[in-house]
Amino acid sequence: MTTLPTPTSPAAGSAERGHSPAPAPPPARFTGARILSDGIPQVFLIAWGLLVVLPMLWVLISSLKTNREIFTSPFGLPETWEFGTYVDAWQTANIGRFFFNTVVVVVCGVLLTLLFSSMAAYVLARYEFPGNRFIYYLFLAGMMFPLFLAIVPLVKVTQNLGLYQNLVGLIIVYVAFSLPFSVFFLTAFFQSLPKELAEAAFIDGAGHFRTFFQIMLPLARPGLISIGVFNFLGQWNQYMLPLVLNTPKDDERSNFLLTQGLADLALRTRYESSATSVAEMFAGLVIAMIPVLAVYIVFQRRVEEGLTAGALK
Amino acid sequence: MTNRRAYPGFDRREFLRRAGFLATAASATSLLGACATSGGGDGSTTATPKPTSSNVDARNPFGVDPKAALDVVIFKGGFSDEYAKYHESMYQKRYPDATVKHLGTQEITAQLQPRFVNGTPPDVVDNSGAQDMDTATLVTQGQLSELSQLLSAPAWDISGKTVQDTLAPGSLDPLTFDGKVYGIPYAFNINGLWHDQKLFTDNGWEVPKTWDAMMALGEKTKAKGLPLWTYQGQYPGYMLTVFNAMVQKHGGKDVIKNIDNLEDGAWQQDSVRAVAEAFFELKSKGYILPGTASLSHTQSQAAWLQRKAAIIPCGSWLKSEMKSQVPADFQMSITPSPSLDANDKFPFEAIPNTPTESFLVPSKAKNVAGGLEYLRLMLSKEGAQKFAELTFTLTIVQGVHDEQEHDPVLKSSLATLTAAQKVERLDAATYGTWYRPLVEEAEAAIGVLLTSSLDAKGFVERVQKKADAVKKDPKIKKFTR
Amino acid sequence: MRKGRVPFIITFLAPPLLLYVVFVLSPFVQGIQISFTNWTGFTPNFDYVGFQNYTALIGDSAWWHAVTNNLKLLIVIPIVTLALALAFATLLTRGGTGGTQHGLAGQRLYRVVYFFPQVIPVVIVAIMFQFIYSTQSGLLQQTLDFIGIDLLELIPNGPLGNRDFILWAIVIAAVWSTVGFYMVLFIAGMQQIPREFFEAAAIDGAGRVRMFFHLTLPLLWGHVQVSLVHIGVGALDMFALMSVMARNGVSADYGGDVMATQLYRTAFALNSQFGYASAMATMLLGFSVLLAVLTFRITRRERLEY
Repeated sequence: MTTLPTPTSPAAGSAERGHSPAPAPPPARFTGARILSDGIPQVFLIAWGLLVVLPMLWVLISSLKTNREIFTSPFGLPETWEFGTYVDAWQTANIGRFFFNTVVVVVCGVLLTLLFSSMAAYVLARYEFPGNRFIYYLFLAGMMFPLFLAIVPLVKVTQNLGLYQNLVGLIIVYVAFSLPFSVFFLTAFFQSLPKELAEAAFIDGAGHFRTFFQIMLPLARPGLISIGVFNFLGQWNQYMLPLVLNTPKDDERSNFLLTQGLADLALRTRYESSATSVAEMFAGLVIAMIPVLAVYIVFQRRVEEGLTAGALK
Repeated sequence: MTNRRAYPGFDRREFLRRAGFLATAASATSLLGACATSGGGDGSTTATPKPTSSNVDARNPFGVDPKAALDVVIFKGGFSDEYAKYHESMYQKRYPDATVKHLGTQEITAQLQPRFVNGTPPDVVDNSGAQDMDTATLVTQGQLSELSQLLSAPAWDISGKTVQDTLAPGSLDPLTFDGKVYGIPYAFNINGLWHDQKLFTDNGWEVPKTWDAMMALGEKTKAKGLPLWTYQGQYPGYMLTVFNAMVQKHGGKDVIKNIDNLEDGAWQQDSVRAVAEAFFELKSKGYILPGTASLSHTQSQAAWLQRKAAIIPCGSWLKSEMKSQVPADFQMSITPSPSLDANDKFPFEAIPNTPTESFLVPSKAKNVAGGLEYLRLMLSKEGAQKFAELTFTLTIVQGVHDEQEHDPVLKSSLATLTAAQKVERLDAATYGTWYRPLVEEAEAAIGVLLTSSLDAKGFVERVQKKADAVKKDPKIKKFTR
Repeated sequence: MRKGRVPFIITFLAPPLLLYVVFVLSPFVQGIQISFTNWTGFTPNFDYVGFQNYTALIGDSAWWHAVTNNLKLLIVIPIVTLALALAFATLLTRGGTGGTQHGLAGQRLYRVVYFFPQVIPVVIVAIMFQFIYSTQSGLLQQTLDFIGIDLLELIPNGPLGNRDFILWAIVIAAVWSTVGFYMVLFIAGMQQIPREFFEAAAIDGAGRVRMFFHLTLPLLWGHVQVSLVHIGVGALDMFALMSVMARNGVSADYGGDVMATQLYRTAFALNSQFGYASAMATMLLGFSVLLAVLTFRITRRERLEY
């Protein structure tokens, strides 16, 4: 990653920023003042870094300890490294299966959210019709609803539609609950896109559908990436909805998601299911975290660029 | 955390499970116009199982169909479900052609409510834990088998006795409704105070039988640099249980009955004040492990096992909940809560009878006979001993645990129980299940009394105020006993 | 021109709207409906009781205690989270170096590390902090011991046992787990600001602080606004953390009780007063809407285009 942001004219499009090879930046001068003025923020940054890393390190080490060690010497090293906790967590928490379920739900959920929210947002942003504002604010209101209020009737709705305890139902509900924020975000985005392109497309004889899919959607890519990342994180960590709507179908809990599996491990620490039950929970956490962290690190740049999007202007 | 009635420890999951259950209930009861009542029948009949095959004899008193599958759902909490797997293997041995389906879960309600609604409940349910179903509702809706047939059947492996004969007297009371028994509370739970007998023996300390002795012990432990007491800080309910027992022992059954019945000034009765004064002493004399209020139940129990405090209150499940953390030379022992003074109406030995793990046989189950048979084998000597061996907790089956004294915890429980059975039993306080808002306030207040700014007078006034409010609240249904 | 406009609008709007109405709106409407009943949640019976639940709620001091706690959270959490996230984002991008570098040394590593807490489920964050705050040699206690401070003297009864501190103990956990996310969001926004702006500002002699307030913040305002709403809605909830760390708000004499925990207990623990709990939830909804409207009103300002 040697490329640095290129000087571009303020008028240049956002998409090009930070990609073309850059001339070397002005070298930093290590004067006394520089060291001082960088040193103070560095102390601050390192302090927060420790605040983040130490508890994580503690989780990592604790995942290899017995319950007894965790309670008697919470910050000591384990006497024997109990790597078996990872095997136990994997097996009892059925993490492989839950991981697969989660990927299916989140990938479908995010894609469908993108499709539906961009459709609604596009129409709301670019077409005048009676009730437009009403529908827009109706969607917006959804951002404010406390989930509590809806949860009991929601279970009933999904049961009546045969969507209870299955992943398809979860996907649909995820999409529905992701709509308010996504529509809000994308409406602003579509409004900020230049009108001229769509006009030109119409003049060329393109219909509304073609204009949307071939012109507007590609233009909206940065916005879609942003909202996609938002929804990915939100749906990946979603806990309440699956817990209510996706209760275990069988003894293997074959329909569970990762967050449910972890919560199950967490609950088991309230009882002593084994001599290493606390460690198993942490081991499960580590197993579940690694892929997400890996994805984040690999795509870090892209995530940040995606979040950028310029849509919030 | 096995005894949820006594120590409700709600968490987010429980909320969600209950939410799921509520919705199920809602859809089944046409809330808000949705018409979705399912399952045939008016639900008011109490099924009495008919023998399903002709080979009824002493060995198979319910006429179990040897080929019929058996569906068992077990609450997998502090006792885990290993004991149930053993019971299932016993069933399998007797009926090799039957398949036994097992589900161990913590979410009884979420798992089973839809099955009850759809008329396909399992054959055996261990209705326990934080997410248990309301037994009274199940009974009034005719969902449970009445168990007289089981109780009059010959015991599995104790010759010459019926099942009823083998059970501890009064143990079925909690699941008796209008004189009929609808479930078996299997585990004989004892709530009391735990200590490490080794620590006590090494220091020449006696288990305090009166509050004065308790305070004297507090001085002695303090001299050794050891706080007398800790408790499950974030769950002051454990202390409320001790409180209830001490109040009843001091003032007699009526005192607690008045509290249960929300009589005016019930919390201002002399015995209540006196025990509150005693509890205040624990704080004012500095006998409570500093920082206790901040600890979770496992943290405080771990501290006690590390000998950082001499005494902790808990139910029988303590060892099962903490087993890997018990040091090798630690001698966990349970005793009743102390008498307040010489005027106590009950002797020191008296304990409240609080069995847990409710085993039910749903009346609409496919294999009711098999379910009854499963309960019968659970109540066998073999089944009960296995449970005690695996969970360090006695069962309600009498006499069978005497030979299991090699486990010090069981030995201690048994000694406490044997002594208690020679004297009158304490009533279980029922305001905890009847009026949750009251018990929540009492728990919070007792926490403040023990660690923060309330004194005995303030405690009594605060709880009385809540009791008055509950009494006046039309939203809360009232009971009396 | 633009024929087929109406069918197009309907085709594009109907599916999302249908989903939204069926799975989001209708359950909420039913929830509001329940708030006018005395339903217990355990029996088929309920009666409509008019505004009885609401009048009871207005006189319920425990409820207002919870509302007050939420207000405290609503003021503190957004300020602390935003301040930290903005500071980190600034230091790790061009603005933090006075416009001369890509960010302070080590910025790549910091960006990865600071994001860590975001991938831990909240329930586990809560359990972790229970161990950190433990008064039986928790991380905090040991650290304080190291510098000669007695935790229990500083905070009697410990962080989670002290009525006046428990709320802030949980706020720390909340901030810890979310700062990284907003930092990443702001970094993304800042990277979009053309480099010449910073260079020009540097030539004009603007220091980092001035650069932040006069350049970075105004250009980032849209991000800040959305984040505020997000954090605010979160501060009105807080259920997950409170439920584990404060035992659903009951711990330490209700020191950590918030609206969400109280309505949960009312619905499921306190004699199943489901209608009453729904009234609480409906009022919470009212607060949320008010909050959103206020946020947008207060933070509305000229947007800078670049």
